[in-house]
Amino acid sequence: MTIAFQHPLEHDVSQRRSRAELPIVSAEIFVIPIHDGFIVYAPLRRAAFVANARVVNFIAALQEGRFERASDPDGSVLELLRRLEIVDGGPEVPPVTSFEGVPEPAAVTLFLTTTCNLRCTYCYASAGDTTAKSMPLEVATHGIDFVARNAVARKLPSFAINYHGGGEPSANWHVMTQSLEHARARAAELGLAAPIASAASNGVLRDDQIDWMIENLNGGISLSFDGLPEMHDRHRLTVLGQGSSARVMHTLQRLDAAGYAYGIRMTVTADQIERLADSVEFVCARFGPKRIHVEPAYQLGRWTGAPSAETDAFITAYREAQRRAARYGREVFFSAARVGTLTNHFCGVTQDTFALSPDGNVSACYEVFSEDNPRSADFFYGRRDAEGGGYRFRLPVLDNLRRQAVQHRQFCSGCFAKWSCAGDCYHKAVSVTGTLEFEGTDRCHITRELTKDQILARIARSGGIFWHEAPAGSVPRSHREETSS
Amino acid sequence: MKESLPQFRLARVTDAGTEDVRIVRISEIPLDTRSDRRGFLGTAMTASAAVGAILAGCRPPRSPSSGAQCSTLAHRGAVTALAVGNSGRLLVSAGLDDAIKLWTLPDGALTKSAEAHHGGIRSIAIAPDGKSLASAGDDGNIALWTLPEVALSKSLQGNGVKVASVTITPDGTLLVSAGNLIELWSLPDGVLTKTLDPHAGTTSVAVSPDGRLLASGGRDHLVRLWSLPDGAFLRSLAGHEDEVHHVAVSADGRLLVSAGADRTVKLWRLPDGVLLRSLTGHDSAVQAVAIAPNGRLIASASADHTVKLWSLPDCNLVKSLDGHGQLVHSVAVTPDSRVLASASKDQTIMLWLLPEGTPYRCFLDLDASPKDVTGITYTARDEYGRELSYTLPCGSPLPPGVTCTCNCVPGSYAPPAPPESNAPSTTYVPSGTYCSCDMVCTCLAVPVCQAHKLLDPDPVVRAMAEQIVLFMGPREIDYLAWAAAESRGALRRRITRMQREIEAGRRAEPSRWPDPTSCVRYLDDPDPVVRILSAQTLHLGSSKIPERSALRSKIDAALREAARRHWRKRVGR
Repeated sequence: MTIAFQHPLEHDVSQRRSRAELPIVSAEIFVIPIHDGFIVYAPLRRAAFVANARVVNFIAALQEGRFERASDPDGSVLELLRRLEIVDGGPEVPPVTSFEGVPEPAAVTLFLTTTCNLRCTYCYASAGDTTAKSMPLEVATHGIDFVARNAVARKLPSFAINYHGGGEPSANWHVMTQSLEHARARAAELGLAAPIASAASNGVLRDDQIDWMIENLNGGISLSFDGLPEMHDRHRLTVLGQGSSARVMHTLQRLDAAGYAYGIRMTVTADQIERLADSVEFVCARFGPKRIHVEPAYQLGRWTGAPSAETDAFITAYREAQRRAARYGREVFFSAARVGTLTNHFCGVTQDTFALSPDGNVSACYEVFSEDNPRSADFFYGRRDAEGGGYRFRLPVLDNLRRQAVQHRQFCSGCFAKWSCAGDCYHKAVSVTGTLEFEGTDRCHITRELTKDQILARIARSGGIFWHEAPAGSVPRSHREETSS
Repeated sequence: MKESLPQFRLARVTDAGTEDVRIVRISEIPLDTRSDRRGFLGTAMTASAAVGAILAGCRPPRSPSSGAQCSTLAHRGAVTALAVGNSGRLLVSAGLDDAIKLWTLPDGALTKSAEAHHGGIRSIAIAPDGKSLASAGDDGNIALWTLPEVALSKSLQGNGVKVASVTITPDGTLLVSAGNLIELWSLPDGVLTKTLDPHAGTTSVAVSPDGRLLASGGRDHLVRLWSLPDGAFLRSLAGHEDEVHHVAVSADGRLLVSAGADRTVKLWRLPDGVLLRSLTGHDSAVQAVAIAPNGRLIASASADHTVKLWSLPDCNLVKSLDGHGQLVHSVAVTPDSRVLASASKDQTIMLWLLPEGTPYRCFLDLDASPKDVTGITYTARDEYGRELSYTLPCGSPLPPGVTCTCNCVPGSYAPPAPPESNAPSTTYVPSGTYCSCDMVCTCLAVPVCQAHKLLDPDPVVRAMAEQIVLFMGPREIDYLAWAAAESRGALRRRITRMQREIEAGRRAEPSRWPDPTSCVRYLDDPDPVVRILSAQTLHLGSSKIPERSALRSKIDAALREAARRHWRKRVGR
């Protein structure tokens, strides 16, 4: 079949076209070198294709205001660019949401305890090494009442509770169960729907605890499990120094039998990298997690100074793991590589996460769960109001965290992954680099390589020539607009 | 560690100047083939060839992941209604072509198609036990069908006026239909027990999970609440500024969501009916809503061709799903809240993965497709050992381990030419682009699976089959019903009895699992279903088997083979 093209500019025969008539580059474009050429990537158009240098320079010239017709004699490149909204596509809308003023959270994270029944070698929280501190029920209910009132004030159908660590949340079992009962009762009293409840756990649980979670945690559980028992047991040890894999696998089987949706979080240390794919395959073959989240171990807490896993070897192993998971119809997930998501927030740190320490102080970060953390002054932004039923917030601290959203990061401005990675984990970066000014980490390289993989996979799945999805129709609205509407 | 400033913004790059502009076609999904960075990219092509391929439609049919419209049709007319079975494995669709179709989830394989009404179907509802289906439409009839056969079991004599909506109470004892009047019918006998007069046409009805509250949406802009089973009127909820098109009640019974021609979605607190929020964002009338059973999302379908996802409890617009080319009539969410189905006037049905809203699959029925649309057919065993025939659009990648039986089956639908038309008859010419032949294949399902081994002469096989079926448990009731329907005589009775026992609460009994040592030899059995049974049984009892033993290796190998052979892309499981 022969296709006759009408050149897009054929109607304007004149070579002295006015500047106003030039095709307009209407997208933020990144050019990513790969072996066979360049990926031309317009993240906000959810568009990409692979081309040679001539095409890249043709687009660069357009951006400079020059139309190099000799490079595109039949107008087909321009046609492609128009189809992808890279040219003449109208203004782009950056996926920016911003937060300001006094927060009115409708979700609370409770750091229930620093106690833990495991002594994982790589624990970022060094759980068990410090004096145990557990949250009293009254601290939990105070936080729950606060977010419940906010939900009513904001006319939201309900609120959310997340049980998280610093230790193993289930170790403070009576507060976990009673606080959820309290939340339900409070929701009913205020005419709200049942709250969404979720938890993170190391999976070493009693059967009655597992069954309670199945019954009560309607928002899911994230379980830490490193895959192959010999890998898991190398690092995830009980207080007595024994492996914990059998207990965790028992939990997984019980969750699977109940058809419960859960996620698995795999931590990869340098010595585990070569078995990562085997571990992922082990999980895929035996268990049914909703998703498998793989992260290199943080060099924090008990793992400070340990060999880094943020290496090229990790990337290679991750790719192989992904390939194996695909055989089972599964995907593995690395938190900062997520082309399907366009956002300016990596996590809740820049979005007013409301997390309570056992003492009832407010942190924005799941990793900064204790006032003893060296960075606590940068992440703890509130405390209980002794006079009222709410909290007093230190807005300068909060505003500084809000300013860590990626649109404010000078370092990230030229990175093609910025609207999906959104600047990665702020706490991790400042802990590793020792400075509050973000200057990149070894994780950036991993993020870019895996993001590149995802772009190429999307092109391949879309027919091989280009990838173009209609922008996610969500029109970003500021938090202020949202709360005032 | 500090790294150098990343700079990937568009800028001129080194160019030897010896090449024309070229687009590189990627022929394989890199991670599905090989991780070699050098090898996965395909051939470079001229830009004009690349664009020409796009314009000529020569690229593979648009993948749903491109966010584009489906290129495959599911019905011969507008698809107006969807319903998902409690197992999450069954999707029923119905449309103005009078057809009721049964599809498997998430595969999208068509398992049954039946003509049901005359004049178009407007609403369907699956009974809680999954054994029957109610349908209603413009012919004024309400019909009850057995599932999965789609055989008519009862026709309810309505008042002859178009029926816009039907629903069945959670205990399965009451059917509610709505048109000009709202009528309550007892089930299974189908006797009209009550007629409610809302004084205005009713477009939609929904029942609360406890079966005690009925919500109706009206053309008079009002949502009404009624008590059940007595049908007493409770209150009217005012807020919409135009017709209410659809109502839905959340799984916890505390939230009512309504969709209106005024382009809004409204959230009401139950049981008092306080208006909580009004969601704006659609550009045209909202036709339907669905609340994810986990209470985290609302999906709204609109005449603006989109489906929008709204997060709960914060009510933010999460994503607008652009996949349909015309008005979206209906949406439904699976019980695990992982998959959304949407149906449109453009005759398409799409699946989307939740909560991300990623396009996942377009359904294809070749009988609804004109002859210039072609499909690949292939067979695969599902996890129950059933060998099924599937159809995918031409050019789709085949799952690993399946048997391709035909790669170019044309659609069979020829729209009737108008009388006295001189239009030339349609002649099918294979395009030759992605389908290299024009064979026509007929594939028959091979109904063999675990349940069919329940009366196997070998007691070990019988024991394995029984325990595996029990382990599948209540989630697989649909499967057991299917297995029984495919069987005869004593086997059918045995499977049916098993189904009843599971429904009554019987579960797997680890103490009765066969001794692993007696199962091992079945790993090499020539019957693939027996091999599956033994691998599954050994896997369930594998905690007693040493990790590094030869036996464990053999079990793992069998399970890997089973997973490869029994490809069935289960979302998240």
